[in-house]
Amino acid sequence: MIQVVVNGLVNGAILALMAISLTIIFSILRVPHFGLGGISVWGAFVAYFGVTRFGLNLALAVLLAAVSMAALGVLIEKLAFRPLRGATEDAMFVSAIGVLIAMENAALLLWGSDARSIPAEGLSFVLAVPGLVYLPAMRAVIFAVASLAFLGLYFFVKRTRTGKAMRAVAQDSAAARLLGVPIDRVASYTFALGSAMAGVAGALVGAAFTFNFEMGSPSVLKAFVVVVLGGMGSVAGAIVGGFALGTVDSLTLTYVTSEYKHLVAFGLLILVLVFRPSGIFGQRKLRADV
Amino acid sequence: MARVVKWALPFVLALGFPFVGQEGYFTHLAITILIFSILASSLNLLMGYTGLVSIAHGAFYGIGAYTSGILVLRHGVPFWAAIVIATAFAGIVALGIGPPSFRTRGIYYIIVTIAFQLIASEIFDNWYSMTGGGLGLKGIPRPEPISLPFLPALGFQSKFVYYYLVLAVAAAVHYGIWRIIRSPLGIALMAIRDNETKALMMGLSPLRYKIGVFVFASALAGLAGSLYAHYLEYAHPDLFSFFVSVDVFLMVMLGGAGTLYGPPLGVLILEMLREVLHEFVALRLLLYGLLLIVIIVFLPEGLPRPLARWTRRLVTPRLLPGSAP
Repeated sequence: MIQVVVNGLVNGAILALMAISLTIIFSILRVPHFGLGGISVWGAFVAYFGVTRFGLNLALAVLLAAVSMAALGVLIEKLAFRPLRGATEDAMFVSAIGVLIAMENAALLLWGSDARSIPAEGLSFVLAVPGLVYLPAMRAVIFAVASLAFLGLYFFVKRTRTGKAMRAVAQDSAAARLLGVPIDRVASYTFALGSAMAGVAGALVGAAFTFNFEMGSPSVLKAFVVVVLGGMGSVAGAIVGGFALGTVDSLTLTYVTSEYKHLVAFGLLILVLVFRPSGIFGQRKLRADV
Repeated sequence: MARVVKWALPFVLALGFPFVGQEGYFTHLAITILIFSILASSLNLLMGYTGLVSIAHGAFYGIGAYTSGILVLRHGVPFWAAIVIATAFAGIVALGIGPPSFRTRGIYYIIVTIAFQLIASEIFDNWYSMTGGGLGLKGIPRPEPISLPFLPALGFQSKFVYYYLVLAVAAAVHYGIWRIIRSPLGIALMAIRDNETKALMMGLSPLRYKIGVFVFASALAGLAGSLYAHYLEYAHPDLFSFFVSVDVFLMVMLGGAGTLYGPPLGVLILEMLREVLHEFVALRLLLYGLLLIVIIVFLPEGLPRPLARWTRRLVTPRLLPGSAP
C-alpha cells in the first residue's frame, strides 16, 4: 500500500511538471497548448540520443532536452499560434492538436515505435526500507529535479522582470500591451519556459521508465485533468493536483483495474469539467459566459 | 440548363459508378467515401451550423458498428432491425452525455468530447467478451436478402448492390440535412452558433436545440457505423479511434464547415490521400497534423470557398473603384 502510494507520488511529480507547463502557457497567453505532449516525447528522444549517441551524462542530457525543447517551443509558437492571436480558443486548440499529432508521428517516422529507456549510469541502485518501500534511485532523482523546477519557476515568475511581464499579460493582455509590455517577447519566453519543462518531464519519464512516440497524448490529457482539478492557472493547484492524480492512478491500477487505466482519469476529467469547472481549489468565478 | 446539369451530374455519376467499378477496388473506395460523407455531414451539422466542435464522432460511429454487429452476430437479430436499433442506441448514448456536457463551453466542451472518445476507445479495446477487444469482431454478416415483387430477391453479398444501399442511405441523410438547414430549425441552429446569448434573448432555448442536434448527429454516426461494420464484415477499435474522430473533423474543416457541399468534398480529398498513403500511416498522420495547423491558420473557411474566390477574381476583369455592385 505504501509502496503504491510512493509510486503514485513519483508519477505525480512528472504529471505536475507537465501540468505546470500547460497551465502557465494557458494562463498567460490563453493558448491550450496540447502540443506539449509532443514536446515531452521529443524531449525524451533528445535526452536518449544525448546519452546513447553522444555519451553525455544524464544531467547534461536532461539539460540538453530542456534547452532544445525551449527553442522548438518558441518556433512552434511563431508558426502555429502567433498567427492566431486574437482568434478563438477553439482555433488555437485545433492548432495545438495539430502540433501534437504532427510531432508524435514525426517521432514515429524518424525513430520508430520501439519502447526505449534512457540508460542512467550509477543510478541503478535501489533505496529501500526493507519490507516496506523500495524506491529506485532514479525515481528519487525525479523528485529532486521536479522540486528544483518548481522552485526555479517560482523565483523566475515572482522575482524577475520577465516574470513580472508574464504576470501582467496573464492579468490583462490588452492593458499590459498599452503599458508597453512586449507581448511577442513575453509569448516567446512563456513558450520557452513551458516547453523546457515539458521536455524535462519527457526525459525523466524516459530515464525512470520506458517511453515511445505515443506517450505524449495520454500524458498531456492527464496533465490537463490535473490543471482542471487544481484550478486553471494555479501553479500550487497543479502541483497538489499532480500528486493527487498520480496517487489515485497508481491505486486504481493496483487495486481496481489495470485494463481500463485511462477510464478513471478521463471520467474524472469529464465530471470535474461538468460539475466543478473552476477546479477543487480554484475560486468559483471562472465561468464568465451566459 | 446549366443549373440542371450542375445538380443532375453528381446523381448520374453516382448512379452509374458501380458499372465502371464493378466488384473492384474503386467500388470499395466509393462505398467508404459515401459512408464517411454521412459522418462528415452529420458532424458538420454540429460544427458548422451549431458551433459545437466535437472530437467524439468516431466514438458514436463505433457504438453504432459494435451494437449492430453484436446484435446480428450473437443474438441473431436481422440486419434491418439491428441497423435501426444501432442508430437509436447511438442517439440514446448521446442523449445521456449531451445534457451534462453542455454545461461546458469552448475548449472545455471539446476536451469533454475527447475524453469521451478515449473512454469509448478503451471500452472497445478491453471489453473482450462483448467487442472481441484488440482481435476485433469478426464475421459480421452482410444484410439478409430482401424479396421484391416481380423481381428476384435482392442480396447484398456483392459490392455492386451494397453500394446502392449505402448510396440510398447517404442520399436520404444529405437530403434530410439539407431540409433541416433550410428550415426554421436550421436558422435557429445558426443563430445559436452566431450568438448564443442573443438566441436566448430571442426566446429560443439553446440547450434544447443543442441536445437535439447532438443526438441527431450522433445517431447518424451510429447509422454510418452499422453500414460500415456490415460492409467490412468486421469491427476493430482502430476503426473508431481518436484519430478517426480527428479524420472526420479534418474532412469538415478542409471542405468548409457550415456549407452543405463542403464536407463531402473534404471526404473525397482526404480519402484519396488516405488511399495514396495507405502504406505510410505515420506519414499520413504527420500530414494531418500539419494540415490542421495550416487550415486553421490560413484557410479557416476550408479550401473550396477561397479557391472559388481566387478563380472568380482571375476570370472576371477587375472593376473600377466605385463601380462595385
